[in-house]
Amino acid sequence: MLFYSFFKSLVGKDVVVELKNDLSICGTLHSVDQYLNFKLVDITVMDGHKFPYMLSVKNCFIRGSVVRYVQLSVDDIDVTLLQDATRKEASK
Amino acid sequence: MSQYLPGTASLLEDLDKKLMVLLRDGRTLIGYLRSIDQFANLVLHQAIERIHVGNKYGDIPIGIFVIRGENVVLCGEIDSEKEERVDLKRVDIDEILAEQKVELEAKREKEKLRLKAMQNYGLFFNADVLYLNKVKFKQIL
Amino acid sequence: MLPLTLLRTAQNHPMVSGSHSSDASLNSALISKLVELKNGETFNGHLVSCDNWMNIHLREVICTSRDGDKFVRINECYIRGSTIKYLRIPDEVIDLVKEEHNRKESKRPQVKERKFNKAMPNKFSAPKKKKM
Repeated sequence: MLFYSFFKSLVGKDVVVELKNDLSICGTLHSVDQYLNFKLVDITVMDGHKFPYMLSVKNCFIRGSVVRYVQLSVDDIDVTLLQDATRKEASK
Repeated sequence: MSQYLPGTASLLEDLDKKLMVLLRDGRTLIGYLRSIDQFANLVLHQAIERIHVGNKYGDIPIGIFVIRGENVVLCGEIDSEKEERVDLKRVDIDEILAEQKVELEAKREKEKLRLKAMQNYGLFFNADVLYLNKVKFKQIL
Repeated sequence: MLPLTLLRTAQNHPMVSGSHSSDASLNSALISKLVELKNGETFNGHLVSCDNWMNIHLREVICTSRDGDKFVRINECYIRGSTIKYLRIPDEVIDLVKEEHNRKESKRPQVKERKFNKAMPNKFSAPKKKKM
């Protein structure tokens, strides 16, 4: 549940989600659930011409199981808080 | 509601909207999302399969689709405003199918070459190839 | 109405047969029931029954290979739900669902009877298969 809470704290921030099919989607994190499915709003796709079907999409739901990376901005993360939370989770 | 359907809470907001669903095999389906469950199995109504080749696309009508959740990569809400701005050319089914065939053929050819090159380096990906090579190896011995 | 409920409604529904190919350009009304597996094979036939795991039982099946070049006729087959990619069902089923829903709504208090129907749907309804 740690990462679920972590991503919940990032709602509203801009993220880049890279999928296992090499599709990279940049957008604002709208919501996340415990499977780490994401919902992004106002998306743009990197290398858009390779993925023409994404051109008419503005908001999207991404299944957690197909995500490879989530890229975040450094400023969005409180590292010490994350470390503390990790320790707390580990000592449970 | 999210209490009953953990995991798909955010898809519930998209019910009855026109969605583009991308499958793991690369296919794209477009239709109205009518139902979901806790596995994110989807029901698409008045669905079409949209085939893109280059900057052309073709639509194949398919009625109702029940998609098993595991095979979904993403569901995108179609934005009508954005849709209008897209400069893709719509062609009829036969044409797009023919174009797709050509593309597929080219891809296969490329894959074959890649596999061959890999084999020269002694790398085998395909289980069948591996097996064949084992057989060959035994024959040599 | 959950996706699996829709499937359950589709079972035993006498569907129009006659389409013996997965040719996607065919009118969807002609297609009885099409299941595509994760490996790309498609199975075209009548849905006899299905369960909560999406395991399905089909009759009079045409199995089409991944590339659409080989066709095999199978009288009866059972497919494990976890191997399924998607199912295509005819448009009429949605109307059927509405009907069923209305019927159930009007019959609300008779819970027992509904349970009975749910518990043993297949044995009794399978032979009812109609040819059209």
